[in-house]
Amino acid sequence: MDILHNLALGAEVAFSWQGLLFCFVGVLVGTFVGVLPGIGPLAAISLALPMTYYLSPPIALIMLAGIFYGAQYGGSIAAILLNLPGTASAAVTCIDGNQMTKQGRAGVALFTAAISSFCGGIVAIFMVLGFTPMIASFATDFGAVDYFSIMLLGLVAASTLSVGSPLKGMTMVMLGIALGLVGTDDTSGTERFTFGVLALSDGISLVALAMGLFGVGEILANLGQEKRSPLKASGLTFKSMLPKRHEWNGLWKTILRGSGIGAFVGALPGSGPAIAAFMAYAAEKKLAKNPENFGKGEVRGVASPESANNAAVQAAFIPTLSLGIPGDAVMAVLLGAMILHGISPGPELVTSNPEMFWGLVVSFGVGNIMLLVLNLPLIRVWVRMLSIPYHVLYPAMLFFICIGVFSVRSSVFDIYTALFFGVVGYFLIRLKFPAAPLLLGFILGPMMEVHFRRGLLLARGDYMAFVDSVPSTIFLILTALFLVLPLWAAFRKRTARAANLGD
Amino acid sequence: MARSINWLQVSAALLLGLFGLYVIVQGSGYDMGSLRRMGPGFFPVMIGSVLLLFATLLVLEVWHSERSEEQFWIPRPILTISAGFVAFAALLERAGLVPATAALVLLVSLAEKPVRPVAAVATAVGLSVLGVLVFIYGFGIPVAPFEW
Repeated sequence: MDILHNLALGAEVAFSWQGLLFCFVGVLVGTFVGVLPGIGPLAAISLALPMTYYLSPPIALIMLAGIFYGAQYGGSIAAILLNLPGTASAAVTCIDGNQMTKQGRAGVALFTAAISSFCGGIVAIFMVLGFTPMIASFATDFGAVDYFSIMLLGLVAASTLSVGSPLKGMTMVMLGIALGLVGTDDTSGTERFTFGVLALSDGISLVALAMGLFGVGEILANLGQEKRSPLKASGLTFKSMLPKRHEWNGLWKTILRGSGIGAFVGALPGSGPAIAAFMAYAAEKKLAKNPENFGKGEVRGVASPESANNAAVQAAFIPTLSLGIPGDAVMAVLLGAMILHGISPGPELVTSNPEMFWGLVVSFGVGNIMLLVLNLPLIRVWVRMLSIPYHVLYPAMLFFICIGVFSVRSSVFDIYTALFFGVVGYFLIRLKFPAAPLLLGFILGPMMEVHFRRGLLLARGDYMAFVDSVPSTIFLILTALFLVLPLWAAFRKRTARAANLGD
Repeated sequence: MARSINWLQVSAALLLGLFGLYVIVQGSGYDMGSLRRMGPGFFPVMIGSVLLLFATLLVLEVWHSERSEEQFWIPRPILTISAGFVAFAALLERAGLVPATAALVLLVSLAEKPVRPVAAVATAVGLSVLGVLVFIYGFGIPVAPFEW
């Protein structure tokens, strides 16, 4: 069987000593940053990016991916114990998880979160296995116009589906594309927007931009805030974590539903684990016989979003690996990592770099098992992490940002770049401008320009080429839908409010 | 009820619009080419125009938006962290990694009140050792611990 042969190839990579070691390092770092509120997987992956230059590309990706899904496990710990989402996607877990802690059932909540995340991950791995090669083989016929249109769809979906104003999201995407223009134009060799600065002729450093926006910016925002309440150490034993039989009854259905919703939503371009968790929770509440229990410490209110967010993280690899189109900002950075390692993402990836794709998928399985071990018996170690004082943590993080940014291309200029975007990122956070679409635009922008120019060159300057191709037309119609829907929603809200005021 | 104008949000949107305008002006200085064979100026002008359009729409959207930005201007953390980064960047290749790390950690430790000198010095020493071991001996970045 072909798939068995491929899985064997993947296992060879994932079970090599390097594969196992760096998968472990990845999930360990991921859990760590997930537990700590204030550093997300994005900052951690950008931080680890320069360090992966010394690794072979598949191993590097295994480690970076491990950080991403490891953070989903860790994020639930701070959410349940402190009511602070360690990652954005754990925000939904706070609702019922923290209520359970207040009722003295923290152990059960943590156990449920870990098991649900694990199941979500496993379900999504099968989706990745099944769909990625299929979509990739379908996409091998894609031309430049189709790529342009699907990237446009991804950008529009990402900015309109995010929390907050869709218009702000779209504006940030355009700002990101504009920043991506800096550097030497590949086609003509013209230097654009470089101000004669030599360090800018290769463009703005992706790592410096990401670390500035998501590392320095977050730290500044945290420093400007009120002090957080210290953790009350609770008597957490492994025994107290095991749920009672009646709590466990029928929970597997919730977990399966959450995993399914998460895997589906995660695979769509533009949607991330946070949206998946929110949708799974809403669906579960609607289906429940006792919806009034949700928000008051319902176990299913933890199981559902936790299975969904981890499933979404793994499923997010489907569009990235099959089409080369990242669904959210974290995947965009992973895509950037692939490009830096000299791998061109796209439908040929599965066939041209089989050890990369299959190795990554097998490592997902390995990593999820490692995480289950890390999260159940060793939970007390992570709980202790929550008591690291911030005045030790943030100087250390800033140090790693500085040296990490520098080590990418030994450029002192990039340290100033990171500082600049850190201050910009802080103001964006305060003004509620989402920074993730900016990063997505920054990474996709240059690719879009190449496809746009190539598409029009092939069509002899005829714009109709974008609707002559069937896939491109479908993507453009979907894009239009994503643009119209928020407008429609805003319109309905306004008329409803006007009606209310009229009463 | 007349709500006041949210100047903070409006100026942010205006700033983005100005940036879009700048991208158009600067971009049109490059060769535009033709639709069939686009020059390096075409895409920037296109992007700048859309950015300008969105920013204009945004001004309308946020004009009367509710003000929720508290503690917007935080000079202490911004200045200390900027000073730390500049010191690190300036010292790294001139004085070496250890002095750069010490300057960075000590400066950024001033961002939060109360300042804890003992913890700051301990963190600086710990990170210097870690930096030299991991980044210089481990990854071999082209920087010396001390530059004489």
